[in-house]
This record gives sequence, C-alpha cells and structure tokens, in this order.
Amino acid sequence: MNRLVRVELRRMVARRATWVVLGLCAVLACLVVYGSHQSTRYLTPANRAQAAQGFDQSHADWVAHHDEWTKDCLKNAPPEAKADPSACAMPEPTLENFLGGSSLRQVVRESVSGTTGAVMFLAFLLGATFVAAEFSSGTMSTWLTFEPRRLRVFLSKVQAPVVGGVAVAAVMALICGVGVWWVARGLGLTAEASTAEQAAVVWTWVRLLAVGAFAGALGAAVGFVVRNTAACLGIAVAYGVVAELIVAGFLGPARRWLISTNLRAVVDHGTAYLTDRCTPDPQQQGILSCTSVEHHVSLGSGAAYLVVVCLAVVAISAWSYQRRDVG
Amino acid sequence: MDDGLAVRTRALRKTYRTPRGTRVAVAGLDLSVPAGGVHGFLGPNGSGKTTSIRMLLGLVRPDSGTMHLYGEPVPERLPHVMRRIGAIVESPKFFPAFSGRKNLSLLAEAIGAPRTRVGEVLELTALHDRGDDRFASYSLGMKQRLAVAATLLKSPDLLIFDEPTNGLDPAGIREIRQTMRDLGREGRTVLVSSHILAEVEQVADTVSIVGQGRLLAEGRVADLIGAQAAGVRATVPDPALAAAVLEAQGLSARADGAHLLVDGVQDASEVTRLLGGHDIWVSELTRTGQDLESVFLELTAEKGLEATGAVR
Ligand SMILES: Nc1ncnc2c1ncn2[C@@H]1O[C@H](COP(=O)(O)OP(=O)(O)OP(=O)(O)O)[C@@H](O)[C@H]1O
Ligand SMILES: [Mg+2]
Repeated sequence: MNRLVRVELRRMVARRATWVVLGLCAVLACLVVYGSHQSTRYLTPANRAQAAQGFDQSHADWVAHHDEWTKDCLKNAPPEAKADPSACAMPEPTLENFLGGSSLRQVVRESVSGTTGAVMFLAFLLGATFVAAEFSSGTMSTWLTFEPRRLRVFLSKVQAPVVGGVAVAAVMALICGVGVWWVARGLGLTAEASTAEQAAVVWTWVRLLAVGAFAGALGAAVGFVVRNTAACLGIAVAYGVVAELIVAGFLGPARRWLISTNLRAVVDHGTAYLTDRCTPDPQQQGILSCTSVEHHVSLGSGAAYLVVVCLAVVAISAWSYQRRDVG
Repeated sequence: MDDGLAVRTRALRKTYRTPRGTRVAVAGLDLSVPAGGVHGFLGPNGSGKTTSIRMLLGLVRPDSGTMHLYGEPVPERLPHVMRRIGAIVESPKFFPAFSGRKNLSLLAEAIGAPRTRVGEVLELTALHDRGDDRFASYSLGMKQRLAVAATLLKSPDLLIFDEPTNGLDPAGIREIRQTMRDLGREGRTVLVSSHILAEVEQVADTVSIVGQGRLLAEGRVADLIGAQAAGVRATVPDPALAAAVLEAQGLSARADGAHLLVDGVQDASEVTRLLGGHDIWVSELTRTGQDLESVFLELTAEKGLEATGAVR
C-alpha cells in the first residue's frame, strides 16, 4: 500500500462523516436483527413441535391414501384433463409447508435483502462525501500543490473509500450475521442446518463486503465528477427513482441491467426476475395471452456486470479529473 | 534551459468558457521572475493573476503558451519541480474540521516529510499553541500563517503567494510582509501577487505589472515607479488661473475642483516659487502618491489598451 493511500486512510478515519455513516450502519443492522427476530418469533419450539405434529399426521395420511386420492380425482375430472397426468398429481407434503419458510438459509436471506441496499447506499455516500468535501473545501487544490500527479491522487482517493465501503459492509455483516445467527439458533435452526448450508450463509456475508467495496469506489468516482455531496446524493436518488422504479415497473426485460438485480445475484448467489411474455391467443382474435417467464441471473454474471460498471465509471471519472481544471 | 529565472512564461493564454460565451483570462502573458528576492505580480482585479498562478501549479490547463519553473517545462515536469515550490492560491484552504496540526501532518506524510517537521513549522509561524484547534476556528491571520507553515513543510526555493494580505488587519499585514521579506532575504524567490501598489512597493525588489492578461511593464520597483514622475496637489484661491500660470512655465497643470494638480514635478518648492512670483499664495500643498491607478492608467494608455475593471 503506497504512502498516498495511507494518508487518505488516515484522513478517512479522522473524518466525522465516516463515523456517522458507520454508526448509521450499526443502527440499521440492529433494526434488521430486530426485524428478523420479530418475523420469526412465532417459530417457538412449541409452535415448531405443533407444526411437526401436523406434518407427521398429514404425511402419514398422504402415504396411506395418495393413490386412492389420485384415482378419485381422475374419475371425476373432465375428459380433456385426463390427458394431463399432472392434473391429479398429489404432491408429498414437506415440513417446510408447515413451518412457512423457516430454514436458516431463508431467515438469513430475508435479512440480507434488507441490508444490501443499505450497504450500497451508505458506502456510496461515504465515498462520495470523502471526495466531494475536498472540492467544496478547496483542499483539492492545496493537495495538488503537494502531489501534482493527478492519476496517483485519483487512485489513492478511490482506494480509501473502497476500504471504507468494506468497513461499512463489515459492520453490517458482523452485526447482522451474529444477530441473525443468534435469532436462528434460538429457534433451533442452526442445529438442523448442514455444514454446507452454514458455510453458504457465511459466504453470503462475505459477498456483502464486495458490495461495500463496489459502492465505495462508485461513490468516490461520482464524487470526482460532480464534486458536491448533495449532487452525489441527488444522482443516487434520481437513479433509484428513474432506473429502479420505472424500469422495474414498465420495462421488464431491462431489469437484467439494473444494479439492484445484479447486487441481488451477487449477494444471494444468483437471483431471478419475472417478465411477462405475451402472444396473440390463437383461439380468440385480438386477445393477448400472457405468461410469466422467469429469468435467472447467476452470481458470476451479476458480479461481472457490476465489475464492468464499476470500472467504466472509475475510468470515465479518472479521465475527467485528469483533464478538468481544479478551481 | 537555465536562464536564471525561477518562473518564465511565454505567450501564455487561457480562456474560460462561461454560459455567456468565452472569457479571456490570460492573453499571451510573458512573465519572467528572476531567482532570489521578492517579485511583485501587480495588476487590477480580474487581470489574470490568479489564473496565471493556477496554470503554473498545474491546477488549470492553459490553452497555449509555455511555462517553465527553474528551467523545467511545466506542467509536464511539475512532479519533479513541485518539491521546490510552495504556494498559497487565493485563500488558505484546509480541512475545516481538522486541527492545524492534523492538516499539516497529512500534507507532510503525503510528501514524505518527517513528522517532526510539522512541529517545527508550527513553531516558525507562531501557531504551536493553537495547533490542536480546528482550522475552522482560526482567525484569518492564523489561517494565512498555517498556509505559510504548509509551504514551509517542503523548504521550497520558490514561494507563490496570491494576495496574501487580503482581509488581514494592519498587524497581520505587517507580519506577512515581514515573512515575505525574510524569505526573500534567505535567498528564496517569493512571487507575490497583489492589486495594491503600496504593498508591492514595500516588499518587492522587482515587479511585473499586468493588465487584461498581458504584461504591461516589468523591472525594478524603484525604476518603474520613478519613471512615472510624481505630482503635487495645491490649494489655491483660483486653481484655473494658477494652472494657466504654470502651463505658461512649461509644467503640466490642471484645475481639479478647488485644487490644482501638477504632474511631473520632482521638487514641490518649484511650484510655490513660480506661483508666489505671480502673487498666488498656496495655502496647502501635498505630494500626490503614485498609486497603482495612475501607473496603471498611464501604462494602459501607452499600450493602447483600455483599462477595465475596478482598480483599487
Ligand atoms: N473558473 C472561472 N470561470 C470563468 N471565468 C473565470 C474563472 N476564473 C477566473 N475567471 C475570469 O478570468 C479573469 C481573470 O481572473 P483572475 O482570478 O485570474 O484575476 P486576478 O488577477 O486574480 O483578480 P483578483 O485581483 O480579483 O484576484 C476574470 O475576468 C475572471 O472573471
Ligand atoms: Mg486573484
């Protein structure tokens, strides 16, 4: 790590804004843990025992009678449905049906989806103010009279927020991770989770650190271009409204290219989104019949997309900083 | 290239694009600052002093022209020469929430100066007991001193001060002038920009006068100001009559309200003698100080340029 990065890190640690952001992060993390505790509260051992009992009974019924049920169903079904074997399939009940989404994985996933957005926003904010404050206080010009190599200055001022972003994510991951684990353990979910499942949960939190790094770099790069914290926030909010809401609402297929979709793909180890595919109904003229199509985005492609976005924004920002006057 | 110049610009030009078109800030400036001593960079508001300094420091990109610092072409060789240069552009700019000491220690670490140097320069600028206060809580004079302290972190050969006395009280002004003189005497080069002639006159050995982004005159301060011969202002009963009398004697005189203004007289007693000879008695006589306004107006008139902007 070179000298300039070290200086920038020292400055980041000394900044009040850094600690405000980390504090906010801790508060949000506690809220997430509290939320996850609230939403799983009904899963007390007594309730779980009751659910298990219900499951045992219904499973026993199913084992004893499902052939019979299928036969009955086929007998009463209209003739055209008889061609479709799945029409009268009687699926085997699972414990999950009775517990309502209560595996360790699921509890963690719910808490993570809440934290990803917060980490993204807070780490972006941290990076953006870190750079923008230099322009608004005018210290950027003082700094350049000590180190005139702009590319070096740029890189050091982007690297520090990357570390800061990781710190934001680490605070979030640590508090949420430990908190949610504690909630899940209280419910006895960790004991029944396999080692592989437990490892997957730990990796989820580790991937959140990458989100922090991504957002920190993005914030700093945007800070270099717009040079003002309020303007950076404006851009973040405008993106949130225009892209995330409008695209998600009206331009289904474009969701593949939303940052949020790809963030979810990274943190959740792959994600899916639905679009409507509509075709003219062959039987009825002028009527469209639509079906929902599920599109999968893998961890790899989500990560690749975010890396490309990040590199592109950083490159444009570096180029503009090299060329523009510093007032 | 080694021509004994600390700063050398040729045909330096910068235009700013504004919503209302382009504005020429520097229009072919040829600036030569000899190494050693204090050099004044004098010009009215908006004449392009700050812009020129920003270009020398690589903060602003020139449209055309060449710049050299100690013979090194800039901005290309700026990373190489920057360690020899300390600069304060416009007002001192530091992180407001950090202490003076913290601000300096970050800068010192960036250039690899030893930590102990921070204490030394704070001591040198008499800031050591306020060093741990927030920069935002400093008075303007202390901010200015901190900026000087920052430039001294590098022990530079060339110091560039852009209007360093702006907003300071008389004590602060005297202090900073003394600092500049001392630095010049130590053999360093100090380039100080100002729009106040008296300021440059008091500290500078040599001066460059600019107007509208161009060099109007340069040389030793004493020569330049001496060349613009001084005048006197007299209070007489009938200024118009008195002016006619002096004109007849070959002096340049005119009535200015209740006063008589005479240009180009080295010896004021000549005026009283001539007027007395015509039974015109002077009740009050003052030398008119040679101010930037008149020097500048004469220079622009000579160069056929129109003076613009408020000249204070
Ligand atoms: N960032 C900018 N954008 C547009 N115009 C600018 C900019 N900076 C300076 N100018 C213009 O360039 C001209 C020269 O300005 P500059 O600040 O260099 O003058 P100066 O000699 O330092 O004046 P002063 O004595 O008031 O400090 C002015 O007309 C100014 O309005
Ligand atoms: Mg100026």
